[in-house]
Amino acid sequence: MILEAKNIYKSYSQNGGKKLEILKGIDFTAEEKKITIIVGASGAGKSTFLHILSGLDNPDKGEVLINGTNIYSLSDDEQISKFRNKHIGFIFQFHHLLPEFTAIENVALPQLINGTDRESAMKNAAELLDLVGLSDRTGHKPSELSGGEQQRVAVARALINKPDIIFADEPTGNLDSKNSEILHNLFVDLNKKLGASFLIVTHNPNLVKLADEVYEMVDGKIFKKNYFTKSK
Amino acid sequence: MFEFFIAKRYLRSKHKINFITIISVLSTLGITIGVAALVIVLSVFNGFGSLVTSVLVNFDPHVRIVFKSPDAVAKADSVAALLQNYKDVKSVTRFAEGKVILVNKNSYEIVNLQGIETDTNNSDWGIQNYISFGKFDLSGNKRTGKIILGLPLALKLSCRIGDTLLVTSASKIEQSLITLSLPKTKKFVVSGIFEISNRDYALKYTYTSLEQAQRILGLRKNFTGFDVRLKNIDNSGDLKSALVSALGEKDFTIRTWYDLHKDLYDVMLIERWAAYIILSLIIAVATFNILGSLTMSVIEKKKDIGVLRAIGTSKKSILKIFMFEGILIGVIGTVLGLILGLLVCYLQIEYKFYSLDASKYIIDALPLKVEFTDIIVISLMSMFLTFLASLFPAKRAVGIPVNEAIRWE
Repeated sequence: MILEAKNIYKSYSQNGGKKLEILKGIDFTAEEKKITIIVGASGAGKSTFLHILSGLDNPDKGEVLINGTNIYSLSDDEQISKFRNKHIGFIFQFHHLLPEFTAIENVALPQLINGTDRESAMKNAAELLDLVGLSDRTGHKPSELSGGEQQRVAVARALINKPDIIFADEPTGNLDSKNSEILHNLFVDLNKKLGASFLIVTHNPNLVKLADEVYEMVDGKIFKKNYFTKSK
Repeated sequence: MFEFFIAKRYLRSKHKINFITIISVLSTLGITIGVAALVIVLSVFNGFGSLVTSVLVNFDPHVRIVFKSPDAVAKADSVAALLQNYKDVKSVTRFAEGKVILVNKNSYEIVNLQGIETDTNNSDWGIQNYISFGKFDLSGNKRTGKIILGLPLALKLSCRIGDTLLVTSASKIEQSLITLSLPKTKKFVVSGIFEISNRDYALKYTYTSLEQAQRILGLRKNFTGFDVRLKNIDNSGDLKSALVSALGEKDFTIRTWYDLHKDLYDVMLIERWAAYIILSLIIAVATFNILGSLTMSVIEKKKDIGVLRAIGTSKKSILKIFMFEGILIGVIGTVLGLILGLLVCYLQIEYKFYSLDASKYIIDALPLKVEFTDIIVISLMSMFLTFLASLFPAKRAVGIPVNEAIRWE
């Protein structure tokens, strides 16, 4: 198990003092080298769950272990950030590339952050951009790239530190069907070639078809689904 | 350092909110103007200050000891010995001073008569370097003395070299009223006329030999005090402390060159500080602009901060990025300001663009003296204000919760 979540609770306080419970005691695991997918209705708490699993938000109760490390037991911000940088990759729905930096600089950023020298970081970034089919776009700024290309840059960025697991929150939610297909195939490709583990939240049925494991989130709890998987 | 790399890029980039760029440029400009103004104004103060000081110090002793009582007079020899033992002493001279009335035909003036020693080798200061007419000759005999006075005074008395003046001691006049005797009057021949830039001194002080002064002032063998010149003027305070602890201040008045014109020097110092503080306000206002533009930049970059945090940037690094952005503005502004300020100073010193009427101001152009310590202090102060102004918005950036920032679309 590359990821293990135990007894995750999360609620938000609303106006009037009432507490809105989003996650109600979830236990969850994701396997290494597999594409795991979580589906569910909007507002069911998928994004919140993903943020908690990747350390971007704190649960009210519960533990998250990534490759054996309990990420919420790490004592200070420096340690958590370092862990996030080295072990976790994140792909957002809205690309979220830094607009002032070129594609290659965006991809290299996670390595520059952990102190890798500029030359090596740029070299690794170039290799990854080549892997995602964008070697002719390295010097472009995000505004000069199409939506699909931006998302591929985001994928390359998520991979550069060879993380234990890559989280993706509706990665193709903003893309047309053609670009979505390119991206889906890219996930499968990377999973096969590099053995990359993915945990993806999505609505897209085409992506669900490519998963190794599928879960559904309903009312703050998670259930395994046995259809729509490759293994069928 | 990746934080510096990001900060530099942020500073250069075109902002979505164009206003941020405008304010950043205005901040830089404000700091430049403030720093340049400080450099120029402080250098002018330094220039005038050192001019005034040098004019006075060429005339004044470095330390003056005056006897306040007959007890003190009795200790004169031991004081002399003390002074000779002080390491940095260049010359020790005795002087006698008192108020006299000078009469020339129908004109008269009440002035200070200073009796000085002429046989000691202390020609680097005092009156002998400023004789314009006649010569520095204070020799006299029992009947007639020699006197040297300033040009403005000579004009007032309508006297020339060779004229004879009648000199009467002012305190003797007082005595004569009590004892009903005639005050002692002596003839002095004008042997020299001096010109100095300090008009006050030129009107007030006249010079003769120590012996002649002692005679006319009725001091006999006594004298008023010692004038000390040191090899290094900076030791004046040290010598004063040594003398005060050895002699006390009951019987002696011990003053340094600074004390002799304390009010003037103090005023100059206060003016300098006032200028420094007021001009620093220019820089402070400019740094407020940095606070404004940086705060806007943080708000604009909320999403980016979220992304950076998500890919593993620590809070400390986020702080660094935005602090660097602000500090860069400060550094650029300060450096440009120093260059501008020093350039203007150089041009004034070399080409004397701002000239002055030499007959009124003794110098022909606005005096400037650039002190290295001023440059350091100005730079440090500017950087410190910039640092403070950057801290608040940078801390704001750190406070943004990651998941909130990412959802912001």
